[in-house]
Amino acid sequence: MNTLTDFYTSLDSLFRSAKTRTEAFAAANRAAEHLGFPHVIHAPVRNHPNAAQNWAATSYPDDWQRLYAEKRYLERNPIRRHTLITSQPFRWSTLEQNLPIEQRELFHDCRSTGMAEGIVVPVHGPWGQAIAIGFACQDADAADERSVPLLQLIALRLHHLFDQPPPNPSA
Amino acid sequence: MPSQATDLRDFLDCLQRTPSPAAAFAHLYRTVARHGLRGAVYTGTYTRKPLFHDDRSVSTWIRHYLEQGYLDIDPPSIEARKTHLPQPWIAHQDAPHYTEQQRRIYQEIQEFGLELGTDIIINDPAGESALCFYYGAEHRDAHSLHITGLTYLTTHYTHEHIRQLYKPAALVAHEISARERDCLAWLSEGLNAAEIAERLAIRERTVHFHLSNARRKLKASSLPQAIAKAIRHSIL
Repeated sequence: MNTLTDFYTSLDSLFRSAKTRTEAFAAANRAAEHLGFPHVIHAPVRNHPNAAQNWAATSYPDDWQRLYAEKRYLERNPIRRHTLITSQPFRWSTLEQNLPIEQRELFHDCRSTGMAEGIVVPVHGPWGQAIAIGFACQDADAADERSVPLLQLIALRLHHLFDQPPPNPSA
Repeated sequence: MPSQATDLRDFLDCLQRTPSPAAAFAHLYRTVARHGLRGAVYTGTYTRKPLFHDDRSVSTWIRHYLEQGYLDIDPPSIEARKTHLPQPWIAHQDAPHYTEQQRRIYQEIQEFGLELGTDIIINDPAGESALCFYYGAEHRDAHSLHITGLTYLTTHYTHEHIRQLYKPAALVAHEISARERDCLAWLSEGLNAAEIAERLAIRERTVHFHLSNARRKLKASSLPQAIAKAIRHSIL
C-alpha cells in the first residue's frame, strides 16, 4: 500500500461488502486495527438521533463502557465538548493537558482500562450535526501523526454508512 | 505508511503560511492539479465571491456556471449538501426527473469535455458550509480515486484554514475578545455560568462580566439574541 488513494481504495472494498451498520462498524474496526488502533467509537454529539446516548457503536473495552455509564461521563465528557468547537482531529493527551485537573478523570479511566492514547476525528454535518469518532490504541507510540489522515478517511466512510437509513428488509 | 501522507504534511506546512483565502485556494489547486485536474471552484461564507482556478480553456464556462446560479440547481451540488461523501458528477448524469435547466447544465458540461467532476461539501463547527468542486480529469479512475483520497482531505484542511483567517476579522469587527467568545460558545452549548467558570478556570463573576460585554458589543437585548448574532456573524 503506497498512497492515500490505495488506502482509500482498500477501504472502499472493505466497506462495499458491509450490508448492515454492524458490518460497517466491523469494517472500520478492521481498518483501524491495521493501523494500530484496535478500539473504535462512533459517538453522535449533536443533532443526531443517537446524540442522547453514550455512543451509537463502540469496541472500547467492556470495563471502560461500564465505568463510562456508572460515572455518567456523557454529561461531562470533555471530548464531546471539544468536538463541538473544532473540525480538526485531536489527541486525548493534547486535550487533557489543556484541562483543569478535576476534568481529567475520563482519561485516567481510559488508561486504567487499557487505552493509552486516542485520536478523535470530529465530523460536522449539515444543520449543526456533530459526531465524535474515536480511535484508541494500547500503546501511545502507535498514535503516530501519519495515521491521522488515514483515520480521517475511515471516519468519513464509517459515518456515511451510519448516516444512511437502515436497509428495508422487505426490499 | 502511504507516501501521499508525506505529500499531505508538505501541503499542510505550506497551507499554514498562506496569508489569504485566495492564496490558500491557489495552494490547494496547485496540489490537485498535479493529479491531472483542470480546474477547481470554492464557494462559501468566508469568501466574498467564489474562488476558482483552471487551465483557462474553461474559464468562460465556469464564469457562466456561477453567474447563472447553476450551483443551486446542479444535481451533484444539491446532493452534496445532504451528505459527507464526495459526489462524482458521473453518478448524477441525466435522470427522468431533471428539469430542462438541469439537463442544459449537463449538455454544456459535455460540450466543454468536463464530464468528470466531483463536488465536496464541507460543514464546520460554526454551522457554516462551503462547496468545492473539481473538474476535468484526464480519465475516470484517476479522477475518482484521487478526488476521494488526498483531495477530500486537502479540501477540508483548506476550508479550515480559510475559516481561521476569517475568524479574527469577525472578532475584530465586533471588538469581541477571545475570552468573551469562549464564554458565548459554552453558553450556546447549554452550560451555565458556574459550569463555564469551571471549564475556563475563571470566577463565575468574571463569566457574567464577559457575557455582559459580549451582549453589549453585539448590540443584543438578551443573551440568546447575542448567541444568534454571534453565530450569524461567524464569531461562534
